[in-house]
Amino acid sequence: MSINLRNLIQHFSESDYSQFEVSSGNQSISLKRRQTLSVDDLGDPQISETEVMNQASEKTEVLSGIIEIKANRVGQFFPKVSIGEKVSRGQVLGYLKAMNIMNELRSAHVGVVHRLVAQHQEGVAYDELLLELCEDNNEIS
Amino acid sequence: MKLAKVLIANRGEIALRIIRACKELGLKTVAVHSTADSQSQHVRLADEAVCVGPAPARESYLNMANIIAAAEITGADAIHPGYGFLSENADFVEVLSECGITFVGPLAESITKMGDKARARQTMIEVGVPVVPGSDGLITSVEDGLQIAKKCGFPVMVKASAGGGGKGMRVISSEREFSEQCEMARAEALNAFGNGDLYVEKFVEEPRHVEVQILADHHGNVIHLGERNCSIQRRHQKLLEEAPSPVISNELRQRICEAGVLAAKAIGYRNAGTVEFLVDKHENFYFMEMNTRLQVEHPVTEMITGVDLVREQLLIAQGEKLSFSQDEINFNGHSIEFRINAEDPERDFAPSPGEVVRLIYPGGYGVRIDSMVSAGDSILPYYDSMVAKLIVWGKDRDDAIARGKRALREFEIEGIESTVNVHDQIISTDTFRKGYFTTGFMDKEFLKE
Repeated sequence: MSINLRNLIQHFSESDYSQFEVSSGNQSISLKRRQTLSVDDLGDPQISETEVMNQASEKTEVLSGIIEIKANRVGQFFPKVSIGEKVSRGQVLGYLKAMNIMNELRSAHVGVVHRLVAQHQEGVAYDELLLELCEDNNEIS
Repeated sequence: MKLAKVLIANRGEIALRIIRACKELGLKTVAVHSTADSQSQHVRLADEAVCVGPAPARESYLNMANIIAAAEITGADAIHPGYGFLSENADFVEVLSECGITFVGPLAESITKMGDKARARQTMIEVGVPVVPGSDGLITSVEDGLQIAKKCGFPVMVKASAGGGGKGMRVISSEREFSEQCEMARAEALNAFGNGDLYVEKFVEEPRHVEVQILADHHGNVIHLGERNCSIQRRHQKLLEEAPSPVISNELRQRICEAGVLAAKAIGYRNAGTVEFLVDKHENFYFMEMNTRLQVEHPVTEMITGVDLVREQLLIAQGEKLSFSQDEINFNGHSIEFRINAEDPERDFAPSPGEVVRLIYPGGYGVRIDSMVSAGDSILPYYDSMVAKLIVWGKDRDDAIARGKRALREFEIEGIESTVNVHDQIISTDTFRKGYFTTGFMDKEFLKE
């Protein structure tokens, strides 16, 4: 089987499919979309209005260069960034899933992910600390 | 379907009341709270707590999405709404049903049926529950109005459909003055609201507010737990309630309670509910509305029946049959509830939020306090101003009044203004002691000047 794996992943990630399998002889490839990335599958009507973190800016505390990002709603947290990652303003930091809807949580700040406080799929309350960013003086927005 | 974990979508004393009933049934509890209530007693006493929004109720206690999400992340399989907030929101009940969460209350359909006043009135007429007689809608002419008035029997009340504040409203006591008064009401309504449409209904003389407590299971059993008198009101807000209702005959009591059961059966009602009636001086009674939820004043019924209404609500919600029949309900003694609010009687009962610096509750035999407030707590300006419900029981009404007076005088509260003394004054009046008073009691006895 002669497949360009990089192209296949690229096509799969741009498609609507949640799963893809192909086999030939004794070789097979299976691609499965991770749940944290599956928000696109839900289609626009199901995705609630994007809630931008600046709405919750009063809950975002900056202490000695650390920006605390808190939940602006109740839900199950699906982080989409990892420690050390540079974050630009407006970037999706993760999703808060409630009533089967993935609600985007966008950053109102520029920074570097310093600490992930809420765990993957953890249920979080309104105003609960999700993650911390370090202020980044070299803005990337 | 046994419940395991109940989320209480409320705050204040009722949240605590429900948590207590859940604990006694061995059910796990989840409190929800706003950022302003994070130190509240209901948060401390529940097994788990979830903050659902900032202080304003519309963003927290009325935030359906966050409350349902709180049930999801904690694995709660039922939601008890308490009273107020989302308790009579049919949309909320429907969404819960879609999410597979049990609502501790009636079906959405029952809430809708009773929430639409015209539809509720029509349903009551169809099953023979008396309603205030009158025109079904607007009158087409003075002559049309007169014919309806004669059918209802004088006195009647003519009301402007766009009305409010007493404008375009007339009480007409005889046929002779009908035309003139009707024209005056029309002119006044036209002048005040730009709309002269009128309707006619029988004037309820010396109205008393009497309501019937209903319990209904999912198996077709509907019973009543007697009635309560809630005529002591200020601007339609109840201040003091008692059970049973004084000075109504046993025969009338029986008829009102049966009408309450009939009303509940008419809409296939389930769980606890209250059917409200107006009783006039001739002992006619008329359906006003049904509250499809637990009432603030439910404890007075509990005190004279020994039935824990919240416990019954939870058992009904998990599909159990009522464990008693109508004949097994025994009424014992008399109970009065005093709503102690953070209000300033000297300033037209304006809310008096702030820190309660000193608070000593009364106690002793026959005294019950339902409250979430302790000394050092603050009465927040975002929510209702209730501090506590003081409920007393006595072997008869005189005994309950004496105990109420004693308990009110033991009640010490400092830091905020409260209605404690107003209650003492109310139960010290001759009118209250005699038991015959109308919904106009507060205006007549207290707010004279």
